[in-house]
Amino acid sequence: MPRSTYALGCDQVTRLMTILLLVLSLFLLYEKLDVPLMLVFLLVLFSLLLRWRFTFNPLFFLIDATLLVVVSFFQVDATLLLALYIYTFASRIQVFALSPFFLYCLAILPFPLLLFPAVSLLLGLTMALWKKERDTMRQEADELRLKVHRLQEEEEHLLLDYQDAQQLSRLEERNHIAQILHDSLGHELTAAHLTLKAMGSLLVRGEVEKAQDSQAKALDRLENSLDQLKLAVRQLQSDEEAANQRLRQLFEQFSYPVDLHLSGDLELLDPAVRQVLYAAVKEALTNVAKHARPTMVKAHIAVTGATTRLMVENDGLYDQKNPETGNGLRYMRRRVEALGGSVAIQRDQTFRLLVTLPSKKEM
Amino acid sequence: MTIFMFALQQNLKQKISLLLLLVLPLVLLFIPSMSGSLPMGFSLFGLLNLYSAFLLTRPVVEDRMQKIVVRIAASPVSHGYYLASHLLASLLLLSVQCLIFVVASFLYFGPEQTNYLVLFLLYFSYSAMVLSLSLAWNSMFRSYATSFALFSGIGSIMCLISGLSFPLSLLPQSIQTMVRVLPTYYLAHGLLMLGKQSGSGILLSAVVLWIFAGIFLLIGSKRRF
Repeated sequence: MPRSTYALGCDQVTRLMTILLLVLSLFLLYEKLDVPLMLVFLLVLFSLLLRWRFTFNPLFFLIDATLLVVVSFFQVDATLLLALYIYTFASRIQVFALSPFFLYCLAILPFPLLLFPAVSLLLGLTMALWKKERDTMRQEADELRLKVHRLQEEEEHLLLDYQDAQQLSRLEERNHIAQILHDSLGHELTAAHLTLKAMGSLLVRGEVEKAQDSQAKALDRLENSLDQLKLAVRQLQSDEEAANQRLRQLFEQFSYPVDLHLSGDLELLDPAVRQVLYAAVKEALTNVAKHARPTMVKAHIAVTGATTRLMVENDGLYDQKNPETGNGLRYMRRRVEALGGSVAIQRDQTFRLLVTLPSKKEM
Repeated sequence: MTIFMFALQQNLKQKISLLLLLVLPLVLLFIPSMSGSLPMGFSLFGLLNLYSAFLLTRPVVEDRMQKIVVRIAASPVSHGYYLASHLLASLLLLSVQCLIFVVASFLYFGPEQTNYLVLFLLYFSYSAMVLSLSLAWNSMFRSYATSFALFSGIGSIMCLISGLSFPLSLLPQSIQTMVRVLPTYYLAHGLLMLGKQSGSGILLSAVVLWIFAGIFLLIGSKRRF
């Protein structure tokens, strides 16, 4: 929440109360205010201002207050000014320091004037409690900020780990393909190769029948290889199809009907881009469910060779704060930007989320 | 050139300052006095001194308004050194004003009129107080013109009711008690004690003036940008 420039904080109010007590003490001493008493008053004021401007050991206040007690032996009216020191001690919860002076005031001052140090004491303690409360709140806020900062750091690490995992999965995928090609195609092709070589030797020696057998075997092996190749491609395609199916299911299983327009081939997308697109769709639909009661939800996914665009639009918004401040959208933006894409939000009668991604991951 | 010399030059460049410091104190000598008391010019000098001090703090205020203070803060010159140099330059000029007035009084009224050394010390204490008061007052404003406009009104009233513009004895008793909180009262009180030749009264007035100077200095010397 933005804070007003003119807002009074605890420290300002504590100082304001000191000024108020100074004025009040002057008012109470008004009838007896001669030049020596004015001198004492000014010395007390000087002592308080000195502490306002410069930081001294709080023990020096004890010296000042003790000197005032000594002065009050000769100028009884000056006892009332001890209330200012009582207030100062109380506002710092220095109970041991204020007690003797407060007791001295109780012993010396007559009843109506006695209320002044008592009020000063209460006021000082109130200020001290306020300060304590404020410090606790500040500490809690600092801890929360620290937690948020750590979470953000964690998230950065996760994003990096995610990118590493993508790289790893790509390598694994390559290994998998290599393994399929080696296990299924390699043997057959090698055998076909050897059979054809043998067939060549047989033809040179004029053993035509045996050469024809070898040719038939080589053909079998080559046909077999073609079958194996088709099978391997089907195995690889099945993962991509599953991913595309999951994306479609997101829209189909959403609690509100979605008017989905899909153009282009999702299978052309890089796996990392497809995964971020999936996460973006999921986040967008979650936000629709959380922040709106829509009568219309439109989704457009356009895939071209260079870019992929996602647009999710809905109406029926709740009157809420700017959703851009939400964590989900922030994390989505980071993931999209990590791939070289961008996220835009348009909000008026409807809420429109636009995500643009490169179709191929930028390396 | 040191800041002290620069401040001195800046102050002396203002023609009105020269008029207030050198000429007007001499004019005050010709104001007729009431019988049985010190000449009226002695207390009116407090009013002149107050406005002179206000004019002499102008360079400090203008430095703040023109953001020169920000540049000084970035330089190796400390704020304390800068402020002390300016205040000492102004105090020197005010002391010269006091000295001119005291010497001229000595020559005009004769040596029997009063103790001129004590009178000078009282004026010197008062000069330090009004200089600090001007500094503290100006620290509350962002424009020198507004500050001066308000000060000219409040300063005149303050001098009027604290016995500098006309004798304190002519004021009602209730006001006489009330004005004890005003710093300018202590020059009038000191002059009254000087007339009565009360050493303790004069000392008390001078001490109060110095404490007021300290208080105003604590408020006014806070660095503001």
